[in-house]
Amino acid sequence: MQALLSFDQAPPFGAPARFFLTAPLFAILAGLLLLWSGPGLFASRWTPEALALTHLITVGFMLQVMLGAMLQILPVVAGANMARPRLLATLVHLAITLGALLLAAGFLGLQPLAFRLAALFLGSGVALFVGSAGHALYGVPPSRATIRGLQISLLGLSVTVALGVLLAIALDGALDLPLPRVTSIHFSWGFVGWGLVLLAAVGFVVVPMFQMTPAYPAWFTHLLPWSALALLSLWSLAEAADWPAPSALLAGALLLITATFAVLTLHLQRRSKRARFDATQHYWRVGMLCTLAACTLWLVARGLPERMAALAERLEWLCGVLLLCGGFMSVIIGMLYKIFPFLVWLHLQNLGGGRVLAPNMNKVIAGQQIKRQMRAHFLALALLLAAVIWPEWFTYPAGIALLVANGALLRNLLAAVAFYRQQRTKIAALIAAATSSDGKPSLTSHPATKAPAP
Amino acid sequence: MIPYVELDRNQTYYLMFINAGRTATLDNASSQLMRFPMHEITDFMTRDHRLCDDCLVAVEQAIVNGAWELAGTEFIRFRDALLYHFLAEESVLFPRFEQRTGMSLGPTQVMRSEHVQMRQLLAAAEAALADRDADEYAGHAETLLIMMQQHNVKEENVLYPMCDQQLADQLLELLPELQKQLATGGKVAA
Repeated sequence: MQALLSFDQAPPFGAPARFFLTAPLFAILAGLLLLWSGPGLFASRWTPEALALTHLITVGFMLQVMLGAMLQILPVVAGANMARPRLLATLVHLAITLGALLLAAGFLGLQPLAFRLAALFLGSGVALFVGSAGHALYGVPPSRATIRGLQISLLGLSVTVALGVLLAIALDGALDLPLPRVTSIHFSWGFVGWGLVLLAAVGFVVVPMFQMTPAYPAWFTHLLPWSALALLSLWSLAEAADWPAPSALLAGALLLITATFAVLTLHLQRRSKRARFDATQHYWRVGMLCTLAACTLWLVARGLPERMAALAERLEWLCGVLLLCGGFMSVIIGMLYKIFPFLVWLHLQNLGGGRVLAPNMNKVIAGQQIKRQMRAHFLALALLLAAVIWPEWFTYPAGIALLVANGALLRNLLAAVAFYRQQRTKIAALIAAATSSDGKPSLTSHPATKAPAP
Repeated sequence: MIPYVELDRNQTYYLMFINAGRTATLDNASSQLMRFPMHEITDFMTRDHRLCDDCLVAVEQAIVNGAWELAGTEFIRFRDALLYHFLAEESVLFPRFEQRTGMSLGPTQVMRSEHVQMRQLLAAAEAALADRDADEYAGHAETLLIMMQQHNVKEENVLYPMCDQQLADQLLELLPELQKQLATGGKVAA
């Protein structure tokens, strides 16, 4: 009989960790870009600097963390093992990191070559990841809404990147495309098809789990991924065919789904059984409040008459900052503060082989440092929002705040890595010492470790 | 050696799930689909998971309020609830499952090893509580909570449904036995 289990197939710590550690570097670059370009960046949504900034956050920060996290959670949530995780992580990480840098460089220098190379790297990196994840997920019955959500979000990512590649090639006039329309389809798939669906799929599991809230209603968890996909597809068709009325109606429905997710999450959080809110819960709450605010502002912007186009443009800017920095970044950082320390603990615990108890996960990153970083992030968010309205006053403070907040995030994650390395050495030494002294050591002999007599 | 019971498509998937991050192979998986799904074991054991969660929260609440005496009594309730839950699984549910399926090195083995880790965390939390060290307690409790939750997800979605399917004919004797085992922990088992 073949052994049913082998215990060495979990993705190695370095596989997801490299994605998590690279993400803050891109947000730091975004801060530097604000300082370098100055208030002119906020002149319009379409300035090269604004586009570079957006992609440093979406491709540089969000995509990094989301792919790293998926590498880790696919086996746990869906039982889907990705083949050769270390090699896959190396290749995908390299491709999307280079791709994000080239893309930002392309926008800033308007270099067709940089765009083409960025398209090549991002396209191939994401294709490799989606292919590998799709292969692992193939045939897994979607018994739970989360698994379906993960599958649909991968589809959403593919559409987003495919349209992005198309745009990168079309920018220098090589293809005759209605650029603004394709762009709006591109970022809607990114926001909803990839971002929201993935965030919700993960949230359905982790919000009740970490915050001890009741579960999301089953009908909603099943409805969200499918309806998002269907509405997004129909909306794209309406948009491409230039049918304003159906397009507005479908966009409104997408907005409703997004807002419902935010309201439900806030409602569940209020029923959390935890005695006090930790950083992750605060991050989730702010993230959901920002999402709601963005939905509201978007509706207002859509309702404004033509002569107030300038105001509508500012409101769209605010929506962008609220969604990216306030919504996605907040929730992502909040979850990193749970995932990263738990992974450190789990890997140390496995190294100890059950004979040594690893230091608990709250020791991995100091709580005080997490709180400070969180305040810096919220300050950066507030200053960025102010910079949209008063660029001359707030662009530089916002740039500095973004730099500081993400410098602190990087520092916290590096502290966790240092902790991991230090404890790994310590545990190896402890085991070696214990094994040489009495052969079979047991470092925990507390009564509660034993099962009570039946 | 006890021969394999034929496993269906769902179970093959369940095994992959249980062995998250590890390799599971089954050489005699067939593609029959479950016809009459039963939920008795899943429902019963899931209720007990929630009860353990509530007990852990009660300790946290007491510590935040500075009520150390109360925290001590609540912790004992929690500890007993958790340990008797493990015991009910290890002495009643898992052996029957292993006997029926012939898989003593399968998912139950993974669950047992996670029980060991959780017993260690429980001991560490108890020691911190005895020292009235709120930070130390919070750290161990938080780690234990995440460990418990990811363990519960695997059991509730994978192992218990497998038990429901494999042990359907033993329900009449199995449920009272589980109930008795859990009730020993001083809980009101529904």
